[in-house]
Amino acid sequence: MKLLLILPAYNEKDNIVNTVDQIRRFQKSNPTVVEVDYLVINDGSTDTTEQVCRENDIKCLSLIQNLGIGGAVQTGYIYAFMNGYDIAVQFDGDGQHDVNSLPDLIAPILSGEADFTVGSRFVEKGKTFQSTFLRRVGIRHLSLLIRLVSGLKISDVTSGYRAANKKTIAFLAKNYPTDYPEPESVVTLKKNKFRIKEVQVNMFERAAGKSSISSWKSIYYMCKVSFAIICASIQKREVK
Amino acid sequence: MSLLLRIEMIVLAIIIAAFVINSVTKKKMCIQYSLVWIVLSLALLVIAAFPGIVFWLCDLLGIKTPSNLIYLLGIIYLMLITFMQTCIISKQTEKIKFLTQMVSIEKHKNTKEDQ
Repeated sequence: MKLLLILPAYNEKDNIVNTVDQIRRFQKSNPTVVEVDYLVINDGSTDTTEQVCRENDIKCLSLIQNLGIGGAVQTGYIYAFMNGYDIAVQFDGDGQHDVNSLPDLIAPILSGEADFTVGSRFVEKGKTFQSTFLRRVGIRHLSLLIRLVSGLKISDVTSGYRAANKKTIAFLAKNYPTDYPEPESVVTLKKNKFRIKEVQVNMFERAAGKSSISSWKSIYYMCKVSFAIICASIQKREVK
Repeated sequence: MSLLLRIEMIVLAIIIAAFVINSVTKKKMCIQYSLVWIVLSLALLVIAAFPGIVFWLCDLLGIKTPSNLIYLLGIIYLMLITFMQTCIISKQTEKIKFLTQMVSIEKHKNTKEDQ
């Protein structure tokens, strides 16, 4: 069994080395039964991300132009599909996600209980940091909307720490939304009868750099994502 | 409808057609996208030739003046074109994304083999 950690990175020169170092330490003391591999997807960074990766011998696939988070993550899924990985895990390149939660995240997939798992900060209250108030309100709203249209109970809908099994990798390689893809893709997966499970994981505060969701864009974000969720819920199932 | 207006419409139709045909022959526009503009030119010609159509449509739709009808039809037609273009842009965005992903993956594969 081999697993690929997909690390989308856009202008993450300050974080990427630390993040990959964490992963390398994890690889050495690998407590799981799967072989853990990683790939940085450099989304056309305008800073020295690519150079930093080369200097530190980090496996990096550079997109020839910026595609946005959705296109970058999808590239990872396509790569995982083409290279026959059994599990693909989305993992932020900015150091927010704790690789030590990986065994928990992939456990339901290994046991065949789920096709897709979402790493959540909220499953058990009080554990790990809980994000800002406004962001929490937004997440609550999206979570409710998703539950309404698809019956799926997910509390941390914007989480980018997620794992997919082989079947799901093949699907996501073909179908993945472009911007702010996380909530929408969960609904599309549910709509296509994939089994989804939420798992408690550990996350850190951002070490450096900016989140992809800035405050002035948050209104656009909420409108776009809400509309995308509704569209995804009435979309026909893929026949492919 | 006055004769002058009808002549003006015919001239306008000819100008539009000339522009479009010129763009197509100079490869600035592909044929499939030029058709909507040719249709516009033809519509102008038809109305200039048979103005009765406009008055008949006005009566049918309960619109008082022919100019209002022309405006309405013009706006609807422009919106239709814009809508089609949005669809085309969306499709192209998908294709460009896929191309970028494939080229980037191929490039990555090649540099790995070189090492």
